[in-house]
Amino acid sequence: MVSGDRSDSLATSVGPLRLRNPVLTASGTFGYGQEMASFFDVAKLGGIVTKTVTMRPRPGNPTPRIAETPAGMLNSIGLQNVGLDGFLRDKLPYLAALDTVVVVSIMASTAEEFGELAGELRVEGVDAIELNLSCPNVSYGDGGQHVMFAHAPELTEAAVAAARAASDRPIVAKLGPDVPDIAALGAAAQRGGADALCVMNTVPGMVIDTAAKRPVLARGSGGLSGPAVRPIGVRLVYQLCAALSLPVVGVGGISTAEDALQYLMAGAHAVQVGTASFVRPTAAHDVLHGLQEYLQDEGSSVEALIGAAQRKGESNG
Amino acid sequence: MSARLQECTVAANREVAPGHALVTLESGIGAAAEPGQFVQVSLDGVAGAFLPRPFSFHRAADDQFQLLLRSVGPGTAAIVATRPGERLTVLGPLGRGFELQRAIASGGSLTLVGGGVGVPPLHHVADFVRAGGAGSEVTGAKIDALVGAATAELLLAVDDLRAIDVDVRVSTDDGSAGHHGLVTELLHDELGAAGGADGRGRRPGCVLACGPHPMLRAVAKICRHSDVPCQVAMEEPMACGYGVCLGCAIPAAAAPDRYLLLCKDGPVFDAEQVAW
Repeated sequence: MVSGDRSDSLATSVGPLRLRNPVLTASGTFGYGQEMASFFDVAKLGGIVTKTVTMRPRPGNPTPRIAETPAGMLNSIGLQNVGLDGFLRDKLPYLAALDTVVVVSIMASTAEEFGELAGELRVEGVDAIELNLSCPNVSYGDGGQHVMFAHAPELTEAAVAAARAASDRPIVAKLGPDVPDIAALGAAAQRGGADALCVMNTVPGMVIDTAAKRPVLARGSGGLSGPAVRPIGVRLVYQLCAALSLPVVGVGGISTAEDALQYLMAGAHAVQVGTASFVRPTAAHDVLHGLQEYLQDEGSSVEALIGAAQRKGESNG
Repeated sequence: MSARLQECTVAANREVAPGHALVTLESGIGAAAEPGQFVQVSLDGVAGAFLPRPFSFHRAADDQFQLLLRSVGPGTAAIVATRPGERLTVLGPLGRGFELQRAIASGGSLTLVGGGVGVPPLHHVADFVRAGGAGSEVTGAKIDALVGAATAELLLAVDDLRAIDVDVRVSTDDGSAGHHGLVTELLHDELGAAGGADGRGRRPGCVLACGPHPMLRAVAKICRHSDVPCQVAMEEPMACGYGVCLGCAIPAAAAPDRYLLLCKDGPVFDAEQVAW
């Protein structure tokens, strides 16, 4: 059956997580799903990753928070969110009723708090937990370490281990780009018990207003996203997949099916569409549609394409 | 009313002031638009631009709408340069507009205060009220407009406003037309006169304003002192336009660490909601 073949050709898995297709949304770019429902049927996606949820509501960073950059944008939102209680009460019911995978992104200031949050999210409707270990727009002083989790293997391992111990859901560790050895961070997450990695978060950057002689963003620096950062993400995924057996979800600068194919061929088992949704709210849908057409034309499948470029590469990139 | 993403054909594009274009787009997006609401115009493929650009409606009808914009960078330049027959991808209508029922009900007359390229949403207000959009009982409401610009040739929509029975006073920074100074001085004068001993005896039911942030801050202050309700249409760097990116936040008056989203809670706010 043609239709059966087509849906099978899109299917993929990220560790224990079965996805009907490899297109998810990136945290912080799709709200809690409901905001996007007027643009397209969001349940058609492989999964929805929520805006990062923290234990308590966060007001977010001072303004200005965003700046346009060549082929991208800088943001310093600061994890503004409704907090765990608000999420469970007001946001999860909508997501839980959707016939797609729901991944809840969480961030905490200590490993223990990551565990608490993951434990609280062992509820109906939550299919997986993504640990945001790499947001560049918050301070990391609360836990006493003053270092981003994803900048230190031991902190990454501890946060993942705490979440792992508290939850039976698949745990995805989201890493950032500004590290000397991404494989060392990936290995730390694996030791902590992660089921998968998500690579990458935004790239730290700054824009200066030369007339005012100060940074455009109130907080100074922010996270760069958009097409400008895609080659950075593709390389990181390529390196990780060459070094580790853990499945990787690729994210960074994906706005077309062609972009998604680069990540899949680098070794990603699934992809997330992020900033492109700000430019075109149907972006994730369009990427999925484009992938579907590509697979049909090529008579191929997502499973067959994963890591296709790896097999040809001799070096580690 | 949920927003739609639509490819629209440019029906007309006319230069109305140096660097300013009045662009007419064929689309049903404007059919349900309220004054103060806005659209996001996609700039996919325009070199030097990435994010869409938000614009208030200048006029909106069932089958077409107009944007009046100024070329300030590669993105706006590309839109200003469009020709009839070309297509633009537009998302809208977005945001919350002016609360006109409340504005008119509270006193019977409106005073519009527009600075520079902030005039379009106020023109939309006047056009909408005169067309009966705010209710037939207020179609003939008294509307004053105070329009300011750097120079006479940059005063926008003055003739259009007068043509729909709006009483317009103008100011220019260089004195080339009307009051030599700021448009907020005209407002101060108007509200001062209304409230003073020699008052002309008419006090606007509400002030509706749009323009640069310092101008809006001054308008809000003048209105507070004169105890006149004031609604402001604001602008901030914006990415998505529909409440997901959380980029276009502005501090709320309620608490120093509370933010309002310009694209969803606004772009029109009661002046008392905003931490100026």
